[in-house]
Amino acid sequence: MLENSLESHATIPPALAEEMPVNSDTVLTIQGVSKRFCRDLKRSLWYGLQDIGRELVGLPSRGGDLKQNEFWALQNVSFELKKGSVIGLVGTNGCGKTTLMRVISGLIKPTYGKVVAYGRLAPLLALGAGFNTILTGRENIYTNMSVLGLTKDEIDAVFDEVVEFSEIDYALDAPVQSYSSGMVARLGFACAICTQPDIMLIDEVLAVGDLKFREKCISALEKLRDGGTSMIMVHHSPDLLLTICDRAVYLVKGEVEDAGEATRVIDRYERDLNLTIRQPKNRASENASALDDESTQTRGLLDIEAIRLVNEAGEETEVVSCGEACAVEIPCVVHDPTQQFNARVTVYRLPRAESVTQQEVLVLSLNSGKDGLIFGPLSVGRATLRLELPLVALVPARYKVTVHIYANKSLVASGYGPKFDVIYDREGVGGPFYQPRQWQVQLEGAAASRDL
Amino acid sequence: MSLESGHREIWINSSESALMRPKHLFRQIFREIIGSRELSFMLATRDLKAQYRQSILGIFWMFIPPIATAVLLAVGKSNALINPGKTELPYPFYVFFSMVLWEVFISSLNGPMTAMTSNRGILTKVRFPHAAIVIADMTKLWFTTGIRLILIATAFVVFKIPIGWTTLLAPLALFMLMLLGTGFGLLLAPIGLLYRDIANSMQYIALGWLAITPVTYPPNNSGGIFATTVRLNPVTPVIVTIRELATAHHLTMLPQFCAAVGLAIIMLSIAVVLLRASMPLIIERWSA
Repeated sequence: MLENSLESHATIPPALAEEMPVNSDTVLTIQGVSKRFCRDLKRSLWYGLQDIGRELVGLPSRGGDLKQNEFWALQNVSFELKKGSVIGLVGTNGCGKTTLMRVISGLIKPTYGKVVAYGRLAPLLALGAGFNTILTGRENIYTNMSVLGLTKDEIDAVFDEVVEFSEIDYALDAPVQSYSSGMVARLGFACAICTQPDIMLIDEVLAVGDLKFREKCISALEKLRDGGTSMIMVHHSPDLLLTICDRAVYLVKGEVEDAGEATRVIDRYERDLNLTIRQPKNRASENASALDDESTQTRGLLDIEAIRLVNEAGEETEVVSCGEACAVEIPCVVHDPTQQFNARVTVYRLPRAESVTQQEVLVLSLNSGKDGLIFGPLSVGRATLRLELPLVALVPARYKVTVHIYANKSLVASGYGPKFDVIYDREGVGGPFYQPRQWQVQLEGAAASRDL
Repeated sequence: MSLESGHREIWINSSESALMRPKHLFRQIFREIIGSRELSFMLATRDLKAQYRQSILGIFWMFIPPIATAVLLAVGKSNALINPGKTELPYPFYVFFSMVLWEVFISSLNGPMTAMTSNRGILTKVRFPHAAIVIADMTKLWFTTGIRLILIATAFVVFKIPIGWTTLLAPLALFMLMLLGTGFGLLLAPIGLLYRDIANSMQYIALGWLAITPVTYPPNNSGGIFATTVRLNPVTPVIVTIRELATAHHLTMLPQFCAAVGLAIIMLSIAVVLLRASMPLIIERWSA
């Protein structure tokens, strides 16, 4: 497990770790964190009372045995967060993501191990903690932000920024109970990001608000990240994680299953979820990404201008027939003539319009690097990356395409492409996948054929 | 656990007991209490505003319980339904004044537990100095008591109660009463926050405690078991002293009062450490 973590702590005795000169790049270290929970409430309360007693006489946590109904929610989790880095935390429900976030935020104590944070830590485990719905938005900004650790003067200084970001200036003096849930979420989010934290913990809170606000939040987070704020993020959409995160940690049953470069780890997580199509493993490129630990954000090397879907005739289109050829064209502007790039194109199947329960599903993840194309150095100026699909084998549905471009394993640009429909090439054809085909009738002899 | 290093704040959340390094712990608790003044004030104003914005009678709710009790007991006494004994002050005034003091004590006794419970939402989501919640609660109580003082002052005028320079010391003694209540309340809080049994039994504890405190009757010096219990009750000397200070009476229980204040300070010191050690474990049970 340790060889998988971002940085091994096997050589540092925990007692010495905090006195050691810390790498100035590191803002958070998680060192061998384990957490034991109890499923039975009555028992859990009783153990809680015992733990308080233990704590008061200064005894360490009791041994590693599990009592009745107990289980390990986290086991020996270690990794490190660097300045300006964003780690995506992935794993199935109940794998310990939220528990880990709560331990990192300092809300609960680990059973073993420790978390050391250098700087102000803002947990976004819930938006608007401490909001009182009777009071006005204005009053709640003050209480919420002081709970997050700001002084009144500091709040005064960023107050306008909070109001501007949350877009609730018209309702600032109305009680929060008259707000829509989206407005409350906007206000909560605005308060949190305006605290200018060094480390942010974001647990699924981006799932709120309308699409427009969500995009605003994401770009605000990107701005914070580029300004040096580090983050740990939990989110159910791999797409969003890939947009923001440069690293990822994959938890399975409380243990670190994999950690490292975001695309690789999230790919693996999706594969395990059986969402992705199995691709032949390219050992060399996998090893390369695992070795490369010095990932830094390298935005500004290249910009994506547009993402287009074109048909065989080279015309932009939003409808493609199964079996047809098509291509994704990505016109870019290259700013750095020294870099080598690779691109990842992901295709998601969108839920049917009438469905409320379906979610978008990742159906295709293509990486130019893994297919052998690492392009560059390119001269400064425009260049168009083209992904040719000689035969569209997606089943009929509505899809969307996203593009991420990396230089030296770190994300430099990303963008949403068009939404498009795939339709059957003929009516009355169906099935769970597209089958290229040809019909033939073979007769026994040429004469018989003529007779037919 | 936290420590400052240069301009960068360092936070450590480790499995080891916070009490393993007591010197560090006390320094940290002290800094937290000092550092959370603004937050406490913010939380106190939030609660007060929310509380009174939702009611028409507003602050009059603070006056109603002691007036009601005083009227009830005064009527009872005048009809010889109860016989509390002879009080030096007019009986309605005596009961009214003492009831206000008693309410301060009970509020501060219940304060830590109710404040923690009602802030469960933030406690389980954001890490911040927990002392702020207790201090905010005391601030609120101090504010409501301040408003009640207006009514008490009116009562002093109506009943023509003599006052002297010692009256000015009465609020200080009242603060000690609040510390005593908070001390008891904080000591009970860790268990009370885990098990509802404590909260459920609180009103009976309060009732029993009221019975052994000279609030509706004057203290007497007879040697019976009941009178001894009343004298040993640490709340007795504090309430008696406040009353005597306010009415310019000579102080009859000063040594006991000082002992009670000492007890309050010892209890508070223990309780602050206890709270510090137990809150993460309580929060874990709240949210698990």
